[in-house]
Amino acid sequence: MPVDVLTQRDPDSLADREGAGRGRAARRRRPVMAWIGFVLVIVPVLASVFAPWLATHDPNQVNLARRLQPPSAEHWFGTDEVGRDLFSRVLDGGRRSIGAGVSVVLLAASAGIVLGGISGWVGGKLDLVLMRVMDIILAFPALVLAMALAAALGPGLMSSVLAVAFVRVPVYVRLVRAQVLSLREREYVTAAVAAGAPTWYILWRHLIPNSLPPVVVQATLDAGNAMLLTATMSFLGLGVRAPAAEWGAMVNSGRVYLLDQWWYPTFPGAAILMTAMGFNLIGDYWRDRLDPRHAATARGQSRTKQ
Amino acid sequence: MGLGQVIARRLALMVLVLLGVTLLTFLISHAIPGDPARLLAGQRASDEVVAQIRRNYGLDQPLYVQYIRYMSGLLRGDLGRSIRTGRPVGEDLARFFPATLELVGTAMFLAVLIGVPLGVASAARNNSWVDHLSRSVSVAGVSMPLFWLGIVALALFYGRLGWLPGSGRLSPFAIAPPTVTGLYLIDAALAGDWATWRDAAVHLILPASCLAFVHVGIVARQVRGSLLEVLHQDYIRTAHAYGVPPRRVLYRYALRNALVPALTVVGLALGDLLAGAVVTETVFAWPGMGSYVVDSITSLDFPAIMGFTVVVSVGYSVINLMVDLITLRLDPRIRAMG
Repeated sequence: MPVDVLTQRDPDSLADREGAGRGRAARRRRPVMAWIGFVLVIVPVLASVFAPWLATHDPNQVNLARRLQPPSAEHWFGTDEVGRDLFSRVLDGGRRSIGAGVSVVLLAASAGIVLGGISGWVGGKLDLVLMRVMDIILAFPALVLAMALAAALGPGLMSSVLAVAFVRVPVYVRLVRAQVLSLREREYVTAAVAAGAPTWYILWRHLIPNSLPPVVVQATLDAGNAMLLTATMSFLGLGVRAPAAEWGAMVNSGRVYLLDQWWYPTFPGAAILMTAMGFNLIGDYWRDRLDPRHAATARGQSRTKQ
Repeated sequence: MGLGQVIARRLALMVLVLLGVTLLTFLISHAIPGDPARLLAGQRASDEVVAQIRRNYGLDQPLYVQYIRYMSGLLRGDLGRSIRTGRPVGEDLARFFPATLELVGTAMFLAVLIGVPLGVASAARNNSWVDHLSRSVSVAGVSMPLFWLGIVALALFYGRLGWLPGSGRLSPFAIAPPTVTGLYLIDAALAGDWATWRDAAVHLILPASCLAFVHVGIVARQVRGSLLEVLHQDYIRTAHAYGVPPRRVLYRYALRNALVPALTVVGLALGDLLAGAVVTETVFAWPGMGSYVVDSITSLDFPAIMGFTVVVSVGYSVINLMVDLITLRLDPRIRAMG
């Protein structure tokens, strides 16, 4: 929108004065939110990675004599209905919950890069067909399609990760395709074509690396969302198999005890909220940094395309 | 391109997408689980029984023949028979639909009722405490595990405080109002039965608020974004320069244009609300389509799961098409872009 840009650069315009003020405020404030996000993510990630060393108990050790104990010096988050230590299970569960979210994003983004790259570069009928297929996948509410897929694949963490990844693929295909469509007009790409570089080389060397930044941002924003979706599937009984610890599944098995044993579902649920919020804060910040138009969104001047 | 042509193109695309939705659902239910006949017969059935079922259901036919049969059934409203309840899936879903509609409709209403003013206040007073509040709500909303929020709210308002009922659409032993629409609030009002109306409303508060919470932030964020964009346009500056009162500029000049893009987001949010209903209904024992499908998943009742998937996705697509068309009607600029 060239006209808009001109208006906003006009030093006399009301919009510009306000915009600049907000810009400064945004720059001052946003990194703080991103740092908070970073802490919210890194703490559970490190805790999960080092779970075997940090855990105070064996996460699967049943001890019926100590069932449903409130938080104490011995059991920091209390114990569950068969006396397993909840602190250790939350740490151990993070490996599956965060791991599932990250795997979903990696799978969906990889598939999106390959399909979007090919679709954008080759164009024509292939592009048309691929994009219509993506429209169809997007026509389902995400959770509903993921549920149907996971049910068909058979319950288990693997099938719920695959199902959620499948649902998220179109987002990345569209993103990468749009990038490739604009990049293919660049001079260095034309030069590479003129020099006789093979297609795979151009895709691999020029188009894909240059379309990565928005993919990384989308992936960060998505990681929280993917984690929520996989946890929701576990909550509905489509995720991990007992006795493996996973946050969504723990909330599910703890929900009947909430009235008297509040700690049981509270800690794993809070862990999900904390991690997802962290991913969202980081993703928001990166998006603003990367795309000045979205920075405008952060300052409120959305450029949402119709 | 004329408006008629645009609508015709959208409709054609829509038919294509809907065909794709049914095809994908069909493939999931017929290709992936390996052997639907085995599923129907149960694990302990003999091979002869399985073969018999395969013949009866036409599962020995080529896949494309099965798809055509499935489609012709679908067009007649036949979604197959539920293994768990033994009733036609279409009938089951129709029975549970009003409860879900009442829940989702109320949640949507709450999300718009709170989200729009929050977004307007947030844009009008950029970087004020309202703005910070609205942004915090929106980050919390998108990061919140809905199932956990429901459980915590249940424990607090039902368990600890005892202010609100914890499950179902009515109190135990309460008699449902005579069915007209299936929406208890409307049916009770039509019957003039205000005690039942109050009971139904009280039961709706907790599940609908939890479901709405996630979307208040999304609505507020979109309203704020598009309102701020509009506020920076020339005609607003001109209006200010002419000395039009700021309030009037905000509500009469800016908000009207800003709400058009917000409408699209509200339409998209309906899909999330439908999906969120699955979780909310499970937590609050709300007897709707979501509870039905979760019970079906537990017993691997594929016809029911797939029937639900098709119905919800088709409904979602139709709603989005309608939102698109309303947006077209409201904003002539989009019409020009085709």
